[in-house]
Amino acid sequence: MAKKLTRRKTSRAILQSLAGGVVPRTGAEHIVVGREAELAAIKSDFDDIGSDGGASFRLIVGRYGAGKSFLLQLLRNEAMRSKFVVADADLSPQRRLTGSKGEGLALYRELMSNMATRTRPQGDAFVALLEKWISDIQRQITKAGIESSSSIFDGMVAGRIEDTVHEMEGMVHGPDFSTVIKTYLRGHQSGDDELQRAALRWLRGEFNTKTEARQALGVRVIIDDGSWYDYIKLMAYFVRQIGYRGLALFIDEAVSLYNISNRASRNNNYERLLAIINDTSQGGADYLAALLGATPAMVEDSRKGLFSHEALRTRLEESRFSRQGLRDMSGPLIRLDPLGKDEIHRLLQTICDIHGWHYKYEPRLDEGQLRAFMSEVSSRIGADALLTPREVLREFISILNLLHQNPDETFESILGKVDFVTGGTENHLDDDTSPFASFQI
Amino acid sequence: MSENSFDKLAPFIQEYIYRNKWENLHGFQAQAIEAILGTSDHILISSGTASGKTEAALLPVITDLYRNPPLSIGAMYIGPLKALINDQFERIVDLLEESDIPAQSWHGDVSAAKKQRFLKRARGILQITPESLESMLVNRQHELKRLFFDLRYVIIDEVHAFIVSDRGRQVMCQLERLSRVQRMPSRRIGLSATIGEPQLTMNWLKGHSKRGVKLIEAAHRSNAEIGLEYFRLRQEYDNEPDDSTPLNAPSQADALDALTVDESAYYQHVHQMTQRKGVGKTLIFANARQNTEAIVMNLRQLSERRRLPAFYHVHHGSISAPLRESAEAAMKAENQKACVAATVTLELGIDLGQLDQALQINSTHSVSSFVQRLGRSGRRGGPARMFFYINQWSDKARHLGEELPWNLLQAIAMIQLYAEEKWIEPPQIPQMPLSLLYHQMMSIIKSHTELSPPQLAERVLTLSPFKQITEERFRQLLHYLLEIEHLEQTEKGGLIIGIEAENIVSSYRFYATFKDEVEYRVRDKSREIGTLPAAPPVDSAILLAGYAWRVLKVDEEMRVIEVERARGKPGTFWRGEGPPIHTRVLQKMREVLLSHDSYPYLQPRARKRLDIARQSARSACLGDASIFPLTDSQFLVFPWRGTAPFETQLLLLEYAGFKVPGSWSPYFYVLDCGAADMHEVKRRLEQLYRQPPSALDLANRVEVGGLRQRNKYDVYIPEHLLRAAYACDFIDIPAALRQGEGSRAFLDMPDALVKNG
Repeated sequence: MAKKLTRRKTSRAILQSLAGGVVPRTGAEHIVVGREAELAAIKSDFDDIGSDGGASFRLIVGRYGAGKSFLLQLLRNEAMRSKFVVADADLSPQRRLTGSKGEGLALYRELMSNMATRTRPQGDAFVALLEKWISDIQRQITKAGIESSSSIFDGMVAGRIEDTVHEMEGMVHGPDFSTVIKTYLRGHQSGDDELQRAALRWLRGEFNTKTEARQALGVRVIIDDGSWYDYIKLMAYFVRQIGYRGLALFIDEAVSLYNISNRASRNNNYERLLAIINDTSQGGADYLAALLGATPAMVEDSRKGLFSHEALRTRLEESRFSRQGLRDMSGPLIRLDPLGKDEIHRLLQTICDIHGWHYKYEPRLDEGQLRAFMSEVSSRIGADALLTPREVLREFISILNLLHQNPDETFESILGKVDFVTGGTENHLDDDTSPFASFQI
Repeated sequence: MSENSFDKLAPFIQEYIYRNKWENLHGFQAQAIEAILGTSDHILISSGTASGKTEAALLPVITDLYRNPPLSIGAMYIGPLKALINDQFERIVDLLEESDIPAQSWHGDVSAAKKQRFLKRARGILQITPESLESMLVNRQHELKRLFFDLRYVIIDEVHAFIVSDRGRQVMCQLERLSRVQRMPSRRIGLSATIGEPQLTMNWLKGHSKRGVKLIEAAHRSNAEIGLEYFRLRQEYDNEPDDSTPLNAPSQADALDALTVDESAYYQHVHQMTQRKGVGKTLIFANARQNTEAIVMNLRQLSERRRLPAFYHVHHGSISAPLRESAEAAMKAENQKACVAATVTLELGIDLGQLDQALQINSTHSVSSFVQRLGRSGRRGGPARMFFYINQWSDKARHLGEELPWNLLQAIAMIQLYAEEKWIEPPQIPQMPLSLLYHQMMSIIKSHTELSPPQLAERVLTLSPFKQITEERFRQLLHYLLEIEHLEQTEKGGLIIGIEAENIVSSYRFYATFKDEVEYRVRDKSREIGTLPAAPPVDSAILLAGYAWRVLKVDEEMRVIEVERARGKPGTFWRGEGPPIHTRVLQKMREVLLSHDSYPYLQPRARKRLDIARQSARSACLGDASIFPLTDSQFLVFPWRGTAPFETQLLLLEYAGFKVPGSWSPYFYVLDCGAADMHEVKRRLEQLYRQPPSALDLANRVEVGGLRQRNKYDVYIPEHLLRAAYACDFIDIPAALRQGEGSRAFLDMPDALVKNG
């Protein structure tokens, strides 16, 4: 159930995001309705990883507007609270699991730059995470009675670091990964910014050639399209070693893999997805939670969807009993049913309360008015299929704003004046004045 | 040369010109320098082949790139052939090296490493084919801005060849697509051989851009030595039971027989032409691949038999690249004889060095093609030298239409049109290039992966070749493509490539807008009769090698058509589509046939054949009428109109309830009035004039299978759009009905019936 608000910063973020038709980056937990089962299942994944290690994979499947992105955002916040390092990214034509022009690496780079922790929820947390780790070690050694000016201090820090990364050397690409981490420390200790920057660039996958990497860091490999996922596994292991519970990936818009028109490259991406599923379910990865948002068509289309790939199909297909109603939350597939009328109603009520709380007034809308709004929206926007929470909320908040700014108007008079806009916020023309802006098929 | 324009070039280019002892810049080259460096217009440079057009454009362009280095690739050269691309820059390679302006040719034969290096630096001049550019637009969408942000010049070579094809319109789309990432739209420099109606080409070059277009024309080369000989070839298996009454008067029949020779006599003549003393390089142009093969085979055999050097090569699209290159090399090698038989591949301006003569087998399809080929021949600075061979099979003619030497008349008409008036066909620009629309739309979607309908409409319908495509028609096309799963709509309403089109757009063949050329071999049991460029429907009748054949079977896989001799008089012949011939050419043919003029280039046999044809025409009173009774209900009609009005006339007649049991487009057809009496015929014809059907009414009568074969992607276009396109771009009712010189067929028809009755 939705949490109580305490900060106006949060309520402002919520109202602004929803009015703009996007999922709020913070405060999602304040407006959640339903989804209790899904949340519980995934939270237990996090708990399992936290206590026993291991890994998990979940494919969140819902139609456009069913709330996939919202749920992923909510879970991302939940993961940060549970002491996970999180990283999120949307897949797109330029960012895929793999591709011939560095699309896989581009995804890795995006994940790295969006890496976030509880103390740095907005992203770019990787440097902070390294620095904090080193300073923690230094503090421990100081506590143990060795002054930082002592001649053995640096050696002891390096020794602790060595202990941490040593275990990773048995993993694929582990030796290079640990070399670069140690190089970062060396740069830190000797005040060599250049070296530190090079190590960071390497870890973020920003080196383009092996030659460059060898000159700067003395390693013979770089992170590339073929190997980026191995480094994600190393990263998950690494963050666990330095005190977090694991790494949680939130990858949205997986549908763009389904939209790849070249069969070979689409299948390559499916192969990569299969590798991730296998790793996370068969012990090939540790301390890693991977969550992807996808659409039902992407999963079920037997010609080009995930089910067109035999191995993926057997991994993902649910038992025959689990459709609609009877749901098994232990499988990798989590289907989101669109919010029902009651749930949307509760959502409106919640928004109404938040709006009132934020602008410090007593909400004026009663049950009947909310119902009137609902029926007005659905009759004007048209088909049920298009009526997503995104659109409903956007319209609702604009009405709340108008109502608040024009105390003389009534809810009914404003409802009569507002034009509802159909369609999502995405895919708008670069130029709204284009004569083709209204071209529809 | 204008000192002034020379001085405008960069100093190292001036030095280069001195060092290479180019005595002079031609007048048009000086003008081009002035125009390129002194204005911001598009430029159209028109001059003969191998006259230095490329230099005229490149020297000032390099000067500008040198003085104001661009921030991306600065100039792009678009040429129709890989060979042409390789060739054009060979001459100025040193110059480019000196300027430190990189130039990279970009097509299938260039190594990936070289391409990568060039892309990384993204400077200088890119030389590319339309197909490779398409691939770049599709696959490097996100690099385009970096690569072409500051692209200043686009040099389009062989504009006259591009402008008449979907390929040229594809280039226009590409330039307009590129302009979205450019800081300023590029200037276009069109290089062209002789052009008919330059204004149309200038409009084409301008597209939707806002710049003006400046025309620079080199003086025409005045001298040309032309010869034309005629061979009436004896049928190999002339054992047909002869049930028809002879058409010709006995004296004429004798005269025709006297002109008839075995095929070998013709080959010997060609052989001698190539072996003459003082002739080094010969280029033989044939209209079909099969002919080039047959000629070279025969010429080689003749050389072997007489122990003469066999320096013969074949050059066309199906010949492998190494063989083509060795043919080109042989033509360039100094002091040795060489002869290449080619189709259109060598019509374009690959520099083959000094060429002594061109031999043309049968008439070209257009004056423009004739002039282009003429331009390829003769030594630089010397007169053009071209010799025509007109062949006609000695089959039995049942009427004047079958007897007249159409190909001979056409060749003479083309030569005269150019010699007397410098007339060349104006380019035909279709309003509804649907095949290209499909291609560009799929290419644009593929490059962006997904576009919303408004985004797609905005990117596609604003391209200049599609300015006549309405939103409604575009929507219809999209609906159809969604239905056949070439497109798919995502949940958000965006359009992506559908599953049925995945293989099409992923193949390298997708980048080309032209069909892979195919030829069907036509066989009578085991005997090969000839080839056709398309497959006629089973059971239809075709004319080939002078005989009528019935189609028994079409093997699409092996590309073989099995036929048998059609006994008796076949019904409608299948009308395969050749390139359209212009009305002006048909009118000139009539003039040639009816006049008494003599043409100095006609060799004895050709002169004799023309005389016989003129006698036949006179005795049939062809000058006074163009419709002749054959039987009680059948008439022979000479419309003297180009392909489009000719075909439209046939459709009109069929629409009015008549039958057309035979035709040879666009020369003559046989009209069958069936049981209709004179009054009924008159009534139906008058009705056609009073209330002509709409173009779409006629287009609806055309077999859809034929419509789908016209362009590469027509097969994915909904039928009603294809018909609409055919109606607006091919059917010409006013021209079909209009009365004109020698084209009174329609309203005269009832009178002719009266005479007959």
